[in-house]
Amino acid sequence: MMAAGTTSMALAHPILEWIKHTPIGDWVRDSTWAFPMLQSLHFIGMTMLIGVVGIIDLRVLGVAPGLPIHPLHRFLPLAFVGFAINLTTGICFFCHDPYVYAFNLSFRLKMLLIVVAGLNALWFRLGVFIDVDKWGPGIEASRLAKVISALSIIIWFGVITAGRFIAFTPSK
Amino acid sequence: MLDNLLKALQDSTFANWVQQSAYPVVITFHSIGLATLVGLLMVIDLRVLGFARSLPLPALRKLMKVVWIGFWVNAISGSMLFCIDAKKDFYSGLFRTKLSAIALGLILGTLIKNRVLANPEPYAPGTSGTSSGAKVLATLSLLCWIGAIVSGRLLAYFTFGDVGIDE
Repeated sequence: MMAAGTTSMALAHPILEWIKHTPIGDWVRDSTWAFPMLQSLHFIGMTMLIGVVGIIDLRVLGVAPGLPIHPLHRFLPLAFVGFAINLTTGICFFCHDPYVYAFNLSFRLKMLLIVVAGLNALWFRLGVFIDVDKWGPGIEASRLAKVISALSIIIWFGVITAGRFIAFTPSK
Repeated sequence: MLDNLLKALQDSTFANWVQQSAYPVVITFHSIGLATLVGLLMVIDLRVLGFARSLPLPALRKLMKVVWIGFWVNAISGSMLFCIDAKKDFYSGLFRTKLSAIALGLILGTLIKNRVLANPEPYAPGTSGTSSGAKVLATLSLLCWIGAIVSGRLLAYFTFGDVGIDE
């Protein structure tokens, strides 16, 4: 943000200004190490989440057909831990400079895509999960399951892409 | 001689194009490749360590070809990123740590694929089916990839740990 505009921005957005001056915001801005270490954690959380989602999607799509699908769900807690790490570190990034994120099209798109990915996973849970027990080693998943899994990979790669583009998108 | 080569590389039209135009797309590919490569290896390592024991180990081998796709996406995108800061990166302790961790991680991944996942011993459901040696390999693999991620991230912010640069 331009220094000259800071005061009017602060007046126009009291909530963002409050978020910026929470202890978390101050800590991330003032520490040399906070931002790079939080980013490292954000990438580790990403691999946990994408790894688990990816292995399920790849199996549904027919890669590694010898894997029974049902036991893959044992890895889901790992995906949730990854998501929790990324939500926490993501909140820290947001507090560090709320104005950068709140008015950034890539950031908004990323948040939207995460919601869409969640709804897509819910569709898998409600739409095809009942059949998952049947998909043992060597048994092909249904066409609907394959469509949902292909969408899942595309949406998550979209989340990564939107995330990386935040730094190259003007905040206005 | 080597320094001149590195300097020529980072001053090249190609390096300039990567920096000025391709950069956001290249780092996006680097992140997607990372998620694919490390994400799948992490799940394989955790299975070796005893998670989801009802998954047959040999069936996981098919995932290694996707792991290698992730690796090549990152080898290519990483080489492009190297061109931008060839000299700084080459002499960076962080960069050398990252490459060493990746090399070791790939060796461990190959060992796990050939020795552990291809285990000819009958697979018994309910047991992890892996030896303590296999679990050591999987633990080291996880540490290598976490090390590669952290050193890679720090590389974007710090230049400490430089070795042998005389400027």
